Amino acid sequence: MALSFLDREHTVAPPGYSRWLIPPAALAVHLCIGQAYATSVYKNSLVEHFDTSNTAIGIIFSIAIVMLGVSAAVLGTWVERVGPRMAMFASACFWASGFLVGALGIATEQLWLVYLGYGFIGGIGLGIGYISPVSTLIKWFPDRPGLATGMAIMGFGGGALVASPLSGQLLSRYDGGFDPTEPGSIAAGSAVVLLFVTLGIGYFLFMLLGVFTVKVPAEGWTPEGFDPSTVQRKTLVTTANVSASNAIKTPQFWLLWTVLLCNVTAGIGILEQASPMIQDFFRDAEGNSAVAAAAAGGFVGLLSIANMAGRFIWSSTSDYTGRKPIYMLYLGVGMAMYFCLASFGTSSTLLFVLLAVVILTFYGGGFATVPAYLRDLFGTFQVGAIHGRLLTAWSLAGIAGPLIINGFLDASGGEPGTLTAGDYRPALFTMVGVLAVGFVANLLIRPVASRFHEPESDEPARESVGVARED
Amino acid sequence: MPSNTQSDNAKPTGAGRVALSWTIVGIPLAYGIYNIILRTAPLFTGG
Repeated sequence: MALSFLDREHTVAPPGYSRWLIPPAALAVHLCIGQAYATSVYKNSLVEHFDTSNTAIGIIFSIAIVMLGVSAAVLGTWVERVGPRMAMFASACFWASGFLVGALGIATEQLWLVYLGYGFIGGIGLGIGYISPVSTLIKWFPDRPGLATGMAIMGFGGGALVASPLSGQLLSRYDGGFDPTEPGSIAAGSAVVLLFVTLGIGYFLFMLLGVFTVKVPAEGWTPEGFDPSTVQRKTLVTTANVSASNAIKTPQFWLLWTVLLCNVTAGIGILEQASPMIQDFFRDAEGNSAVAAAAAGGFVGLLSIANMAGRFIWSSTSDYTGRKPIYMLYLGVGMAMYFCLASFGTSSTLLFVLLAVVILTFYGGGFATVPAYLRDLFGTFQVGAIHGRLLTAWSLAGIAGPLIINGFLDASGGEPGTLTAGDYRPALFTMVGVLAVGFVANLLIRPVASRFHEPESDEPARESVGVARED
Repeated sequence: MPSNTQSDNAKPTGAGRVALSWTIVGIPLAYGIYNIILRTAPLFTGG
């Protein structure tokens, strides 16, 4: 069969294959799908092109993120079975097709086709692509799983940093009247069509780099000098394996799900409102802000860097500290940071920026460290599939975070442009409570009971056992 | 189960291939970081 090179059995690494080729393979996928967080570049163009509301266009992104969570949860076991190369190829096909169908929808002025294309089809590509390299990276880096997954998931944050200026430059090339540096400038719909076609083809080709590079380690392979017993001695780290279907029956899964939900909810709360928030915190009695719009835009950029850097730095650090202590840091120190932001954030712009930056590094760190935490608790057998199911917490947090912030701001009765720090305080103190819930959930995590472990054998069963085995 | 470590390797991946792979993903990432740093500048210059 022509595509048999995509099969798992054809992707087993030959002796001598460098494991340092696997992180760039993962980055090739994550840098592309990270574009999902750079849709604001052409949002206004689509609003004008379809002559519709911001909400109607915002739904495109919402469908994509919901499909990310759903497809990661539903297709996680399939990804584990077919291996990373087939999964990355499928992700590239869905992601590129999403852009092309979306382009057709824009060209023919049929918004439902953009929902179907970028939202539904592209969203499936997002979900498969997000989890596709995780399990493989963990198997290649049993000594440094946090470092490995941190590098890949950093790419998802980096993808938006790449797509945002690239899309602006491409749009200005396709529409001479469009200036990406001018806030009021709007590109023509035809330029967005060409942008979608360019991104679809470009991302497909770039993701193929990951497809052709990724390999799984041979059975029994370990890195040179690695002593598995040093990992096993750490608290919570198991050498047993738990299937995805059994993992969701354990309290550990749902406690970690709660941890991710709380950490992401708190971070999204700041990310969503970053630009107006910094201006509102330093607004005087006359309604003028000490922070200019350009500086507020710079603040958003700084948070993007913090988000990306936190993914790599904290996840790598967790290999030394252990996963549970690092989440105590994210959530415990995060609570203190949020409390200080609400109480003393108005005292200086520098303090405000520093606190927000630290919070966003914890937000990114929480995303990147969770696959290694899952590996510690459930083993490597179906860690990608378990990760996929856990990402439903992200989908929910994407709704809960903005809802909390916007709910309190709406309740304050203030209009945008007139809000002050006091209007944000109830929401920020609520985030302290949200993080406290996550902190307690993390404290309650204990090793998984042996009755959920897969039977000991030379080759673990490919399919989950469905019913927990009683030991 | 016998351990298959890199010390058994007869034909290791060349450093050039590893460097090339990292360069291919590093260039767009560097481009993104450079652009975001430009965007961040007004926060520190008060622009």
